[in-house]
Amino acid sequence: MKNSQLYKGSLNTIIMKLLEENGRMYGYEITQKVKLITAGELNITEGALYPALHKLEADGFLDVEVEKVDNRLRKYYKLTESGTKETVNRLAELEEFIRNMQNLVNPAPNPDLQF
Amino acid sequence: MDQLTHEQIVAVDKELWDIGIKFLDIRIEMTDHAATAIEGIDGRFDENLKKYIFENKRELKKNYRQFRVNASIKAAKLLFANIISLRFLAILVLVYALVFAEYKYEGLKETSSIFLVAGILFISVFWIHIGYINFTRSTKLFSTAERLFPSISGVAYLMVFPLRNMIDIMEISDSLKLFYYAFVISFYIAIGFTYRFLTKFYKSRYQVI
Repeated sequence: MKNSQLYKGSLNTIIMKLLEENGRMYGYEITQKVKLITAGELNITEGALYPALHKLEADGFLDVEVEKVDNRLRKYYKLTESGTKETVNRLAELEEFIRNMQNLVNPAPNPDLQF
Repeated sequence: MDQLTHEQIVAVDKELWDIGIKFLDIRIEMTDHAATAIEGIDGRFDENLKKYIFENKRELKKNYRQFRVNASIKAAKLLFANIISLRFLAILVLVYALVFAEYKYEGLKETSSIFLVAGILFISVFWIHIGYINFTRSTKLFSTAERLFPSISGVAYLMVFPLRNMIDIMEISDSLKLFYYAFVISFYIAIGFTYRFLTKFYKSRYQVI
């Protein structure tokens, strides 16, 4: 994953946000969607994606549906009720984090010091 | 590329098995991931498959290692949840009654010996099963179910051998010793139930007969 240290902490929130918007998705679809949205800037590898999905499933935030598609079984993930609530919390937390980072990296000029 | 045929899907599955992705539940997901990726590439299937495996082998193996760890944690957590359930309590009461009956009939020394034999039997089953998982060529093993035995085998061993020796020489009441025997036997029964539940659950989820 590009800039892995920066993105790693937000991977679960990214996945949950995508599932909130798209209903249910399978692993490869998530990687492609992220690639598309970020215009190829962010590439989620299998080694990062699947452990995150399985952890979210184990925590009870994701539900799984297995279906036969195109000669093979496909595992779809979707948010559970608690997963939907958790997504709202995590997104709010992430937005606050981005705001704070924005203020730290690019602070607004102090009006008291301006003439 | 066109949609992969059944034979081509089997070939993808086999390649993943060959690089060490043993558990069926993760292989199903990885097979779908690889197949979808290969379908998006132009060219011959054989070459694309080889290229995909070559380029992603490291990631796939890393993913699998992580998956095994998660499966062990999940198995241990599920076992713990089963141990604090009402069903476990019912088993414990029943086993305690049997242990108590044996104690009344033959005394503490005999009861302890029978407990040891039962422990050896259970531990043997665990190790035979772990050996089977490691050396079998079975392609239908499920992660969480199969990681259950390795993840608790150490605790299961300690509960019978070193702990029994300690308890037997400790100056505590006979009923406490009987409770220990009953608890360990119930613990093994809970492992059996958990394994059965997990196997049935995965077979049903992945439509395996």
